[in-house]
Amino acid sequence: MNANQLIKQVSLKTPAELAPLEGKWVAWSEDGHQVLAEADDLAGLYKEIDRRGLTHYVVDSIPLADESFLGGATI
Amino acid sequence: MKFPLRPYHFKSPIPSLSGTLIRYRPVIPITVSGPAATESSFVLVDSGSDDVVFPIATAHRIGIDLTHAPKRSSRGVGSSQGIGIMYADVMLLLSDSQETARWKATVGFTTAALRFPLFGIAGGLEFFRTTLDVSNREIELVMNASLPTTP
Repeated sequence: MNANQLIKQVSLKTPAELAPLEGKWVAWSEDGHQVLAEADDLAGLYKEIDRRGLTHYVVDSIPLADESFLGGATI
Repeated sequence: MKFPLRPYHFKSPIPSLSGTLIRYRPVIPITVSGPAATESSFVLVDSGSDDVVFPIATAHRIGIDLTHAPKRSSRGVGSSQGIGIMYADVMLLLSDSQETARWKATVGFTTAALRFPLFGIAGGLEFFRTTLDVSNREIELVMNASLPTTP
């Protein structure tokens, strides 16, 4: 996995592309080009990853579009 | 190691950023390994988090047995209720393709609904000199001599 390439590629996703994924956990391809799996929570994502037989992926969380964070209060 | 900050698009103008619609956050990929598996995940670099914390689903995934794990109560900066954190040892790996850091760390796992796994101080940021350069949209982590490197 090339971390910088991954970050740059996922950063190219437009709001329109990410809108259906808001609030979900996703598994990106290691190059960041595509979402391989998605679920409402992480446990569900792992189940979907296994169902699809995925082995190379990077887990991510897609926040809601108007949600600000307060650092340690992301819990 | 240098990583670009990730842009997060907002629907409404952000008052604290002169009305722009994009926040840049230090969200970087990390690899966490346990007895059974290795997982790669984006984490939020968070100096406001005392610990490195993953969702409990990650513990199950990588084969961490939390049955007898030490437990503590923690809370977010704005939280009124404490949450349980269970601690266990893992291997962590950060790489920007120029440099790689791999070390054993005691991290927390929680059943709380984390927005992101947190790359906090103990076991994480304590081993790096960290520069958050928002104007250039990058974060740099330079390994300290204290990093407990492993072969």
